[in-house]
Amino acid sequence: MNELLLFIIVGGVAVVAAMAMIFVENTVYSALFLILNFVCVAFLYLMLEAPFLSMIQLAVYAGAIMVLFLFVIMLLGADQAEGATPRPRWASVGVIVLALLFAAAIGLPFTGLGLPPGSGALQLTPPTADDSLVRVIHGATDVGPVIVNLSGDGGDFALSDVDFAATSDFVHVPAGDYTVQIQDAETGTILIQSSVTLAAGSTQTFVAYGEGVTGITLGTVADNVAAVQDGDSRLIVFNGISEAPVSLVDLGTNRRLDTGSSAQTTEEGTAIVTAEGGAVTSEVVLDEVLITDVPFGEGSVEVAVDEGNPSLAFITTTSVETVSAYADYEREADATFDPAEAEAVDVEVTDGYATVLTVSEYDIQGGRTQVLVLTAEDLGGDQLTPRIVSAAVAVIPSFGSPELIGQVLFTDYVLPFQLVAILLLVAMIGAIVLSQRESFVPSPRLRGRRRVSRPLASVIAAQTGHEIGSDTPQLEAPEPTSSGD
Amino acid sequence: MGVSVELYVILSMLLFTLGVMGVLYRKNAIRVFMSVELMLNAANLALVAFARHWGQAEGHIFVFFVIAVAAAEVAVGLALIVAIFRTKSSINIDDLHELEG
Repeated sequence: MNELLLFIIVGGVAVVAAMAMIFVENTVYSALFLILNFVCVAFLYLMLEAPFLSMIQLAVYAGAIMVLFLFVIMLLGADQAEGATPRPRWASVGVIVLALLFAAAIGLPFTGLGLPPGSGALQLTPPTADDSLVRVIHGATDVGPVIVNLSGDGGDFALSDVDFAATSDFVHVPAGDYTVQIQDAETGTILIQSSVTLAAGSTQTFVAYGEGVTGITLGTVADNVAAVQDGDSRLIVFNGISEAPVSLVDLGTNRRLDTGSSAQTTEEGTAIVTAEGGAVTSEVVLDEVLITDVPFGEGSVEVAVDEGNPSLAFITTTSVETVSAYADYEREADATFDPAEAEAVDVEVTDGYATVLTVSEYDIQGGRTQVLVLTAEDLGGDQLTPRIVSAAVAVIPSFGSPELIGQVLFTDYVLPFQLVAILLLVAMIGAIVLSQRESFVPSPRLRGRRRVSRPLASVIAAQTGHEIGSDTPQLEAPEPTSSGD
Repeated sequence: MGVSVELYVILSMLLFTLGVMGVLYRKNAIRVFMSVELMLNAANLALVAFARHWGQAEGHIFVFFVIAVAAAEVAVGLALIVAIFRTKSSINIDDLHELEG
């Protein structure tokens, strides 16, 4: 309500200043009223969360441009120039009627309709000392769009219409105890309900996983929205698919596991693996294990990775402390495998087998935390296909700040920016040319001299009727100058 | 957002209309010019209001461009007014009728 009051006051001053600018007789006062109007508009920009433009408005408009105006007014002595010939009275009445019609024409569409609701929260801000950030990732197989409701200490919040494999926006929720309900967006039935405690200053990502409306479960991941240095990234893995713990291994760039071989299919999915001299066929070179042993329904801790497009493989292991250079799904292969022969090394596949669930190249975006939710998707076959739901987010520069405007200006709008720069240059030259004294009058010297396009001899010939110089001796060829030698 | 964007658009509309009135009502070229600036500002206000409504930074970029172009326009326009004043010793727009048919 206070903001509305402020808007009415500032807007009112802006309108009054604009009217005064038009109707006051003295042109200098008129310019000053226009400055007042510009200052009011700059204030309104601040209320509209455009601080950068507000400052530009003050510096360029109210400052530079209006100084130029005042300068020209004083230079030309135009401050009283108009008073002598007022317009007839009917003209002003006509103008007002016209103005009202114009206003009505523009204003009519806005009276009844109203705009559709815009985006309320403009930017992601980090959690404050007494609230926490919450979002939901929908990774539940065979479940349509859901609504997630939180109700508890801080009031009621809803994360609406999250489709499968989609991620909701973050919302700020006051810290406290909450009941979380996952509701089917179409039927409105509550699928699951559980209670969570949101700690102040924390960032939580809820993950809906499991299969079908009956099997849906809610997991939580400790997330992080703070930006990281460009080029670096953070990775968090949530295991929503496998009863066995899941590990994430980096295959290194341009190296892929062979997952397509039908001979190596296990009951869990597609397998891989290898060993020189072993019973297995394809070689696996694993650069490093990024995340080890994420239990079912839990998220990993965040790990630092480089940005890029690494090939990553999710591997389930029954019990592997370090899945490294070689992984083997056949026990007997393990037996014949000699780590000493392997160059890439440090192999420690303990009892059990490793199964590769999925291998893919992932786009790891720099500067932010990426959450990979490992879940399954029903593609119509007799078994579920592993599916990775990826969500990456970071605190971006706040709306209307010079940083954000600079980013947009120098990425998407570089060409228009250059064109405007050229336009300003042209305007500068134009202003110089226009205000140059006697710019269009040729100088007397140039005017006095005539340029003759034809040789004088031919002009004389044309006027007198016969050639001159034809009977005069002419040099046939340039003689070599003897003096030069 | 305390104030709905409609109010900003209506304010912008009012200011624009006042600018149009100024252009029609005044005969001093400088004041006509100032009224044009008022209209540009009204359009900018609407752009910023819509940018806020949709949470898109593009509106701000356009306003930035409009301000830059307005600065160029003022420089050339005022130079023109000065040049006209030199030749005719008047900047009353009613005196400028060389081009009328």
